[in-house]
Amino acid sequence: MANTQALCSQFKVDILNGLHAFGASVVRGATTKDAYKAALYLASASRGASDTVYNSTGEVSGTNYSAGGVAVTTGTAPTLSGTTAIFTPSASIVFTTVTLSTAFDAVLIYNDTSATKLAVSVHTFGSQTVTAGTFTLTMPTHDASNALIRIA
Amino acid sequence: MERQQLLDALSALPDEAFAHVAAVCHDIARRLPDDPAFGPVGVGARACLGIPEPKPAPQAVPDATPTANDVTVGLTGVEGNGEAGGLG
Repeated sequence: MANTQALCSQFKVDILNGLHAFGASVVRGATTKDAYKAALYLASASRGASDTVYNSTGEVSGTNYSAGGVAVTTGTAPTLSGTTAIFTPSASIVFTTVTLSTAFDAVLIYNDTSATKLAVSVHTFGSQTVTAGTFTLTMPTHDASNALIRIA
Repeated sequence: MERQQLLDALSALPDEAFAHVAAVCHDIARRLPDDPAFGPVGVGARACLGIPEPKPAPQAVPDATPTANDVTVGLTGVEGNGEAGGLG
């Protein structure tokens, strides 16, 4: 038997569940999970890895779209797939009967419970417009290679 | 009635009556459907009589006005790599 240098796999999951705080953390009022939302952004926007919080700059606007976007369904808790911690929303993200006439190509997932609306991830897709239709973002396969959020 | 009997009967008609029958046949040939279930009866009859084929009905032109559209897009995931550093 030999020792192996590694980032413990469970630690990756625990990060996703907010169980560690190497720096200053926040006072949590409960042990319940946070609420997350998804906001759409114009193709001309500049969302990306440098985002720290939800930002309305460059967010889409149109009929039946509310600033800040829609709720993300988090029915399945983060888990391990091999040594990769993974999380995928348990349902598609749906914007019902919207008209979004200006091309958009990105969605920001952010923590709606946190006071500052902490950013989680940005996902891009082919540029779209929607006219009085339902815009649906379907989720990838929930595994180590495809899950929406992966810490390998 | 056999075909030959029919032709014999027609040829025995007076000219005026024969012309009337010919006009009726011409009209029938014009109206015969070009339906696969009947074979190329209409096309053949019209060709024999020198009747041009009827023009097909014009196709409906799609409405160019944008209509309600539902759009579905598949998301792809993002990955962060966790690594443990070596000690000095």
